[in-house]
Amino acid sequence: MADNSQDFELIKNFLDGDESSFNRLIRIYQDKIYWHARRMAGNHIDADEIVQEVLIVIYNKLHTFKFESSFYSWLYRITATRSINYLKKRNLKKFISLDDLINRKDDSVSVANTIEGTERISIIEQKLQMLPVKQREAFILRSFNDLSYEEISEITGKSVGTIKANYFHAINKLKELLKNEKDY
Amino acid sequence: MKKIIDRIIDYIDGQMNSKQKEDFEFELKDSIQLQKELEEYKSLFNSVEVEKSRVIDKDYAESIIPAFRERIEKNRPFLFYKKLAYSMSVFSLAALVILLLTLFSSTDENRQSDLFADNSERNDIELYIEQISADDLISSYRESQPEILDSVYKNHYSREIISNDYAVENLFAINDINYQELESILSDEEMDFVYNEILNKEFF
Repeated sequence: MADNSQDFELIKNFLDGDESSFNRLIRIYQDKIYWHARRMAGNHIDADEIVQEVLIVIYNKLHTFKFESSFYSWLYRITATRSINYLKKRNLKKFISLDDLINRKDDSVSVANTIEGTERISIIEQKLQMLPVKQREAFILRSFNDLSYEEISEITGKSVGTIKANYFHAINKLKELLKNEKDY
Repeated sequence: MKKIIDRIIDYIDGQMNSKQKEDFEFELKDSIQLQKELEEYKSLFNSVEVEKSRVIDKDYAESIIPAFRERIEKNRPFLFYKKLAYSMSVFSLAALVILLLTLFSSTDENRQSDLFADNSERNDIELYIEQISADDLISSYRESQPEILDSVYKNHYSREIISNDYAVENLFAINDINYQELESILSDEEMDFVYNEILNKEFF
């Protein structure tokens, strides 16, 4: 878990007009934002778009931060919400426009080609995309981000019971999906 | 008792207390099926650990903040126009509300005066008031339909009151006049005189 006092100091400095403090704050957390977005979206381009959206929201809303909870939780709440909203928007676009769907498929191929050279798209990353969004979110927050059920509950606004159910369903589905994979 | 799958996940996830863990491990020794299941889940969690160790591309990491700063700068003029558009829309909405309120109040005013007329015949009479002399009107309606005549006077002069913005007390005073009673007391000539006086606005 990140150091709250350091985060708070950077936030205060930024709110006092020091723009470089914002950059420093983001550098601490940008990997976390990116990987959450990446695992939720399943590709780099969408993840990058989510990252930029999250940064803009943080930049514009940081003055509303209450210094009562950790910045880490606040940031995850924004990242989780933005990721889900982005996925909804993406699905809606696919549903509305066939052309867009075709373009998206092309994009996905080109993204995969671009990234495959330098970054391996893991099987687990691919299989994550086959999970329902809520199960995917619960699994990512719990397994990849190492958050407790209570923290996930605070971030997502869902009860601990619901989070656990989503997480368990996600594990069982992933286990089944990965069972027959050669590389797994 | 929890389902075996839930217990396996709790075990891997470190969610068991020492007693639960001890019981589970004891059970595990004797169950090949449970061992097989546990291995499958462990494999899943091992691949999660491998995935977690991936690092973000350095060049990309370096580009995140500059890309964000560029976006912010691009959005600044847009933000100004957005605020301007917002202010203008608020102003337009306020103007529309005022306009609607004005229209509504004038419609309400008309409706208020229309309350005095109950049927189309009265409206016809009102039109006659505009077109023919008051003397002709009175003589033709006094005998046959004095109540309608009475109502027409009320209606006509109430409109006058509203349109000329007379005091409310005066309005009530006019409406309280019982013309039928007045007609029974006064002679025809006297009534004619009163009505003529009213028509010539000398009443006010």
